[in-house]
Amino acid sequence: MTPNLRLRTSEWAPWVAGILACAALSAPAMGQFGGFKKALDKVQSDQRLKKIEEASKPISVEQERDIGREVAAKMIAAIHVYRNDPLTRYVNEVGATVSVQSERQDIQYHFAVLDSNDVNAFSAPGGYVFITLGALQLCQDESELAGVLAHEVGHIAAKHVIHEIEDANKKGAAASALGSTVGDLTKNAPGSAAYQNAIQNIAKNIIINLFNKGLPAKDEYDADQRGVRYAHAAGYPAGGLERFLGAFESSTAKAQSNITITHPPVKDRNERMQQLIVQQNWQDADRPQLEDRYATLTAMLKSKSGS
Amino acid sequence: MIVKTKVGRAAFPLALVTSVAVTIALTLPLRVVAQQDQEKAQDQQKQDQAQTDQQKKKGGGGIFGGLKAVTTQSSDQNKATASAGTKGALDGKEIADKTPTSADMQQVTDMENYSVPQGDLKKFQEDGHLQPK
Repeated sequence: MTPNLRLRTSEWAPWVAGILACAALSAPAMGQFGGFKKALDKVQSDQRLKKIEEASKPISVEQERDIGREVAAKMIAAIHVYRNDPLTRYVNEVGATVSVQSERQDIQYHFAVLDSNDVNAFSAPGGYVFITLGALQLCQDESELAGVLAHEVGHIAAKHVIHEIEDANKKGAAASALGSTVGDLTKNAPGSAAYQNAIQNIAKNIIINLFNKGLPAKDEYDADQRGVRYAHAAGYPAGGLERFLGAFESSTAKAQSNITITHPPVKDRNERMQQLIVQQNWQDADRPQLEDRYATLTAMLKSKSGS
Repeated sequence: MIVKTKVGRAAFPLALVTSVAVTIALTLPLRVVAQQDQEKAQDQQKQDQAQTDQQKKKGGGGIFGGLKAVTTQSSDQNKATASAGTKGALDGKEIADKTPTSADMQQVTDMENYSVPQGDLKKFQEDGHLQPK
């Protein structure tokens, strides 16, 4: 005898209804959960991509100039330009002689003397080069001045600071959803308050970084090599910067200067420059160091340092 | 032979109520998680905005965000060396915080406009016996 296992409608209907009710009630929750999560992920991903895209755009020459201008203005505001027409002219003549040898000629290079006894020289993006009175007082001849200025021109020509900003922004934008200053720069029209704000923020960061930390050692070595090449191509002895750094290393000025914090050891720098000079056979003994011209045109500095 | 179950019409409301209760119990955590995610996202957005605002106030930006931050140690080092000099080592923070005046901006313009005439530069190089490439 086979048992009849068939259930009556009244028996299975409540369970089917219950299952259907379950499905009906849980569907919106499941849908809401999955849909919301997907939408949220997409928005976050889009925002991140947009920030990375904005921060990844290369800084244009115009933007570079605006940044450099702001850096230069802050340096002048804080340290002040040393105003002496013959000296300004002389530094510009030497600067123009070496800067014309750089690979980068899409910008103009500008040179000024800063009224500071600290031994240092700086460059800002866009072509602004500064040398302090302290550095001029330490130079023994024109070829040393040419070497120092050529090193700074090297930083600008290689866009060391600009590449630092671009790299840091890419990393920053990729790592978080935070606003990026280069992004602010690229998405706002030049002259707008947001653009100007971004320029000021970038300039501030450049200055703090340059003065308190410095560029990566590889950039300094690169600027040294470029400096040697430009000075040599300009007709100066290739070892001007090397001699200047040697004098700096053994001077009392070393203890007072930021250079020891912001640059690699002088010994390493000079060894690398010497290697280049030997490799290229640039040990020209007959090239002019121009001690006399330098002494004449910087004579006023002796009286200033003695006062 | 017919197997009669004891479940009859009277069980219908009971099954329905049980199903609803089970459904709510199962889906409630999902709703809570979704709500938490939404709140988390809103909090994150608020945090990001606050950090951005704070950075703007500080003038921080994110320029060297990917690099090692300027440490107090290096600032202290500068301060230590600053006391040794006549004017002292130059401190980046002080310079960065300066607001250029119109006179400062004019000096930048003067710097930009300054150029040595080509003829004079040539003479300068000849006088120094320089032979640029």
